[in-house]
Amino acid sequence: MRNIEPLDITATDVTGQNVVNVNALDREMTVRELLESLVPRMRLPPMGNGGRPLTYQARLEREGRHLHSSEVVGEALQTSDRIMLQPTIEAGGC
Amino acid sequence: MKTQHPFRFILELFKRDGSALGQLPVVADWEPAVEAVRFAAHRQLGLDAIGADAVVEFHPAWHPTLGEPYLKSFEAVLTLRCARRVTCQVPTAFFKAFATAASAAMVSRGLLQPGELFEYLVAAFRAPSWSSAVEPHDRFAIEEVPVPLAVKPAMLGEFLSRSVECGATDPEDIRVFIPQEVLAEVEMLTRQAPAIEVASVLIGHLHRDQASTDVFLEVTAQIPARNSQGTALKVTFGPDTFHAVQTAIALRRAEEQWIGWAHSHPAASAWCNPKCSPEARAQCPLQRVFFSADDCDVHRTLFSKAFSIALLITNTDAGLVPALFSWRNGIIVQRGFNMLGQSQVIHPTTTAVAVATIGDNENEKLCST
Repeated sequence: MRNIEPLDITATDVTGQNVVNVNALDREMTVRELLESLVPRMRLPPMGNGGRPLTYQARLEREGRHLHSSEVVGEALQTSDRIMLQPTIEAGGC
Repeated sequence: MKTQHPFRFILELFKRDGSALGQLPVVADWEPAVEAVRFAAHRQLGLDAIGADAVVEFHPAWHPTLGEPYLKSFEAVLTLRCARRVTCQVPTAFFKAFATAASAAMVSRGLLQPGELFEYLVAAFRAPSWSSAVEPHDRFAIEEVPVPLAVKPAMLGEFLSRSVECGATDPEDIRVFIPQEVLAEVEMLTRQAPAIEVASVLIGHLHRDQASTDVFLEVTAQIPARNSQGTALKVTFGPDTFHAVQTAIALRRAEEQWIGWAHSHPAASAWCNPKCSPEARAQCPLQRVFFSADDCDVHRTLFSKAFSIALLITNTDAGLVPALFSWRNGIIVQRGFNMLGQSQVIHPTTTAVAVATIGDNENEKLCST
């Protein structure tokens, strides 16, 4: 049976200094779609210098694992879950 | 926090001879300016929390000789629900990254030669206000959770009395205190891995001075990013690094917070051609202190809070050279710090801090080898 309960979660950046409540999540979204929408709305930069896209992953704290981008939000997440958005980013030299 | 834009900002680019290259509307990452004025409110009003209902607007400050519509800077104006206002003057260097990106397009169109220097002005025109507040979204709703500034009471004078100044601290900057042993640890990591870039996350405390009510920063430890992937030319921060840092903070049980990062530039040991003469190496731009465009990206992406710092250790023929960077009015600048130590003996490498370049990618092409 299809779950129609509202799905409300919390999302943070890696430092825990940037926190948002994400409410009434569409359960049919994939994690990739969630991240693509959430990154700019959390005022995290979607791109680096030269327009290179930055890659973010979502770490689900309840399970201590990173969500795969193809996972469906309604299957992977529960209300009150906390996810952490983690970029992969390079500090460069010369 | 809601941001409103009562003005449209336009970038105008010129060749060095003054001939116009073109205009384009500014599409900027405004968040560093928002953070700057938010932190100014924390400092000036003694507030630890700023509500999500506060509003930030951006207003031009006209150029003293060119006049309207050209800017010498712009003001980020934060208005609290109680109608109290705080402002922060943001220099037009804020738009440098956007101007650099715009110039790349002009190079591809043949209007500029690769490497050719250019100049830019920023103009502003009043326009129907638009908001960059979080817009409704059909697949979820979002609500900012105000995170109070985690500050501990302390006496700035006590910290100053047991520290030595390394480089000048601008009056606008908060004081930053780095223990001598933390600096020594970062330098040791640099020496132990001379062929690659290494990195750490700096943790510590924000303090509020009980005398002045201003805040200052204390680094308490560096957590080596052992899970990062370092090469001679870059170091990659990824999820494993972040998890390791969070675990370390939890195990230390000292309520420390992420306050910055450190990394090395293995210039003498990995970047420079060993066949170059000592004279050529002494002049080599790779051995200069610089904070690259990629370094700026890391700072913006991971350490966007206005109090965040970045410690850089450059491995030069003359030894390890430390330099500290932080946000100031929305842009990344080099700055001084205070070194905490048991004695007043100054660590040799901190007696001279080289002046850095920031945000450029020109060092490689300047190398003559």
